[in-house]
This record gives sequence, C-alpha cells and structure tokens, in this order.
Amino acid sequence: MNYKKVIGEGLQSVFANRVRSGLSVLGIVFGVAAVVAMLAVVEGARNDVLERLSRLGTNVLFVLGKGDEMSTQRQLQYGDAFRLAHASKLITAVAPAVVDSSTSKTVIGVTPSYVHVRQLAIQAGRGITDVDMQTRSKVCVTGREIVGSNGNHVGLGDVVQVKSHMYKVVGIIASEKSTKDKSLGSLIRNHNRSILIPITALPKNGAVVDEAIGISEITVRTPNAEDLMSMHQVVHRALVHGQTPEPAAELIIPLQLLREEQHAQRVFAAVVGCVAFIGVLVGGIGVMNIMLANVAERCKEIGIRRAIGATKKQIARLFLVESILLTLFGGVGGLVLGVFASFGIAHFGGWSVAISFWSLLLAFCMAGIVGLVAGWYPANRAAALDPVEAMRRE
Amino acid sequence: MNKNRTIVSVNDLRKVYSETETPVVAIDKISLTVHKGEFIAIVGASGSGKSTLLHLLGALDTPTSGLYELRGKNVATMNDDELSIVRRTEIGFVFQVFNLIGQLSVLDNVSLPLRYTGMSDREAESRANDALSRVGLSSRTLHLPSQLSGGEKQRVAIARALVIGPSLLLADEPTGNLDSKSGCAILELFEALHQEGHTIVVVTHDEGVANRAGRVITIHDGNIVNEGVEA
Repeated sequence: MNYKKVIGEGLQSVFANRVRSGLSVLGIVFGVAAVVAMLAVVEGARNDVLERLSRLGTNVLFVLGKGDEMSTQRQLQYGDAFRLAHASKLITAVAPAVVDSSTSKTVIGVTPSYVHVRQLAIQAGRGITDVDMQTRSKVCVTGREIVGSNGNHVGLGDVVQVKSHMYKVVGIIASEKSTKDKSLGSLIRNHNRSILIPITALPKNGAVVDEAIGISEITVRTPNAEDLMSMHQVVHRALVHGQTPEPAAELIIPLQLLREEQHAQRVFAAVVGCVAFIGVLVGGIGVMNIMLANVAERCKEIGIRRAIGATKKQIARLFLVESILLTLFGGVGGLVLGVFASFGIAHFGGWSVAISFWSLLLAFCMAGIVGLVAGWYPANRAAALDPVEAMRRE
Repeated sequence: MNKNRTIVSVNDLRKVYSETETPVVAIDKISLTVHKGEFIAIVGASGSGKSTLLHLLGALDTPTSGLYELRGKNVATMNDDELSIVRRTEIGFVFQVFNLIGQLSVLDNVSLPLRYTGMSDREAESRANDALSRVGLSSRTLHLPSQLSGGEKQRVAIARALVIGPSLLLADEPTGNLDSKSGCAILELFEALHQEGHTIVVVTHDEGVANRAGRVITIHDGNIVNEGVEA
C-alpha cells in the first residue's frame, strides 16, 4: 500500500473525529508554541549579545571610575590612561573619556584615540586631533541628532554651546543604530546625541594640569580577545604608580560579561526548554491515549485488513501515520500560536525576539517525533491483534 | 485425480486451544484434499469445528500440528508475513457478516487487498471495477457500505475475494445474514463462479448451499464423519 493512500486514510480517520482529534492535540499545540516562543526569546537575546559585541568589539575592556570628589580614594585621572597605554605590549590603544550625561546631550571629553577605540565612523569632517588637544581647541565632533540653536541638525562649521562655552563643529559621526541594551549600562553608548570635545578643552579643565584631569572611564583595546583575561594584573600595576594610591575604579570586560550573560541565557533556555518539552511530552501522552482508544474502536477493521492480506507492518504503519498526522496538525497549530506568542512577548514584554526557520523546523520535527513515539505502542498493539479474534470484536 | 489439480492438501491437521486449563481440541487430525474447480460444502453442528477448519484453510490461523499445503506450499510452517502474502494472493475469503470497512467506499474496499500487494492505485482500481462488474455492482462503486443492502454488501465482499484472482475461494455462512431472496442470488453467484472454474469451499448450515456443492463434508467434534459426493 503506497504512502499516499496510507496518508489519505490517516487524514480520513483524523477528520472523521474532528473534535476528538482537536482536543487530543491541544497539549502538542501548547507544547510546540512554548518551544517556538522560548527559542524566539533565546535567539533574540543571542542576537542582542552578538550585536553588542559587534558594536564594542571582542577585544575591548573598560576601566570605570567609581570615586567622586567627596570620596577618600582618588579619582581616575588622565595620567592613569597615559600609564596604562605604556603598561603592556598587549595594549594597543587606550581612550580616556570624561562623560557628562546630565543634559539631554552627552558631552564627552576625549582624546584622538576615542574614535578609533570606540569604532566610530566619521561621516563628515574629521575627528579630534593631537593639535586640538595641545592647543585646547574649542572644536567638537557631534552625533547626527545634535540640534543647534536654530532647531536644525548641526553641520560642519556650526557652533554648539556647552555650558557657557562655544565649540565649532569639525566632524559629524555616522548615525548609529539604537540599542535596548541595559546590561552594559553606558558602555554601549549611542553617539547620535553625543558631543565629543578635546579632553583638554572641557569647560572645567581650563586650569587643571593635564595629568590630573579627573576622567570617567578608560577604554582599552588589546590585539586579541584572549589577551583580555590576563589584563587584571597589568591594569592594577599601571594604576598603582609609585606612592600614588590606586584609584577607585572598576575593570569591566564586556566579553566576559556577555559570556556570563550567554551562560545565564543558556540555563534559562534549558529550564524553559525542559518545561516546554514536558508540555510536548504530556501532549504526546494525550495522543497515545487517543490512539489506544482508536485501536480499540477499530479492532474489527484491523482484523478485516489482516484477513485480506495486510501484514503486521502495514497495520502498524497505518496507525503510526495517523498518530504522526495528528501531532503534525498540532505542530502546525503550535507554530502559529508560538509565532503570535513571540510577537506578544516582544510587544508587551519589550524583549528582543527572533524567530528563525531552524527553530520552527525544530519545533515541527519535535511534534513529528512525539507523534512517532506516541503512536508506536498503539500501532504495535494494533499489529499484534489476532485477525480472527479481532474480527469477532464489535 | 492428477496431483497438479490439487489445490489444498491437508494431512492430520490438528488445532488445540490451550488458553484454558483444559485444552480444547477444535480440529482433530483432519485429512482433506481439495482439487481445482471443486465446490465443497462443509456442514456440521455449531461448535463442531467447521469455522476453525475454514480459518486454518484461509491462513487466518495456524494449526497446532499436521500438514497443510496450498498449491504445494507448506502453509502450516509459514510465519506471519508469509501467511499475509498467502491471504492476499491465494485466498479469497467471504464472511457471514460481510466484514467491509465502513469508512471506505465500495471501490476502496474491493481494491484494498491489491493495494497491500503494492499494486498501483490505477491498476488496483481497474481490477476492482472489473470484479464489481462481475458481481453486478458497477454502479455502486463510490457508495459506502452503509448505503448498500445486505445482499449488495455480500456481493461487494465476494468481489473483494475475487479481485486477487484466488486459487481458493472460502466462504463462511455466506447466506447466513441474508433474506431468502438475497441468499438465493448469492448462491447463484457462487454457482456461476464454480462454473467459471473457481475452487470454492463453503461452510454452511443452509441445505440449499449444501445441495449445490459437488462434495459435502460433515464435521463432528473436530473430525470428518462423512465425506459424500452430491448427486
């Protein structure tokens, strides 16, 4: 008997008892939907992590100043960045920065290396130069969304006011994609609303010796991601200089944080995956139950089929196909529900979700496998019936 | 008789049911030969073992001991798959209660044994149509069994038995569930099939059936007690 005919008979049987079939696959529907939604959330989170990594680069670390003017510990200073730059061959570039986010615009005092270390693209004009630093030039490089006093986006040659000082725009940063990232705080900075000013030309640093300029952060770039993990000692040595006490600073390696985050996501995915799997399993038990009832109901038919020449294998196949069809219908329902649920999670929960073809295929195949497993026992039970005995039953 | 004309050769066939504490001997050392083109009626009281004998001949059941050869092949020692192949290629079985599959159309019911042989849908349906024409039901191919009368159902069952071109046509009380008119029509059909050269073995209580048979075998307590040739 060819598969087309077997599938046709399976469909006939499934649709002959629509309500019963529908109710029996509800468990599969919800189980598959849970798997799809879970995979969508995990995939979304993974994409988020990858996007953040691609923005920061894998070979970058941050030294964040923690102290303030009232603290007993000294603040992170411009001189620390200078020493850090020469502390190891593993450090290829450092970018100290003073960040002021107190207004709607983020004003950042930077050195020329900032653009390179932060992997920013200059769309027009130029970046901050060593000459700007030395001459404390009142120039700035702005993001795409900085608006001037006339209400228009600023362009090259315009003047931007920061506190009481005026800075001439010499460069425009290419527009950056916004991110919902929270885990790395301000480290992944959207520069669309930022103004980069030479660190030496910041309003409050006018009378300060360069080395003693208090800074907010130092971004450090190494040749390889592997080098980051051995940087703790190097950074510590550089910051403790002579009799100078170590500043209040925190070393952050985004790659490490993101790996931890990924690990947490994997654990989350495993837990949710187990729950979803249990859901599908329970659905499978429901299908098995219905298939057993089906075999009991169709006992006489099985006997007739055997009497006219069906082998045990052919009988088993008939019920197995029916079971798989049932769960595949449930699988399709689950996929649709899962996709809607994923969009619901994204819309109402604000989570990133990403539905990949592979996750849908995986969930669908899982439904098929559950159908196979759930149908195996009833199908073999049907096949094992004695033809004469089976035909006698009503 | 020429050995080449022997369809069924049964020797010391025994069937014992051992499920209960006291084994029940249903068939006790029966020996029987059926030749090509014969029309045999097996008669006997209820519980005499005639249906069991028919099930053994139809490869629906296996004997406890003894020899059963169908066209020279030893059926008694075949495994389940081999028995299935024998059922769908050599034996046409007609049951008292028709045993049609309710959700399948008449055409699908008749073509089903051919589909189990792996025959293509087109050829199976063509042959099923021929068989249905033979029993006078070519206009009812798309009907469901529930839409047919008893006599028509039995004709469908006969068409299903004939469709494979069986060496042996077995029937278990084929008129038992029919009114006298339909019963007569079915008997005439069996007689016509016999005239065409089919080998038929019928289990019956119906004297009318027995009277049309070429040979009547009487069974009692699992033994053949009389084997006579009708006039």
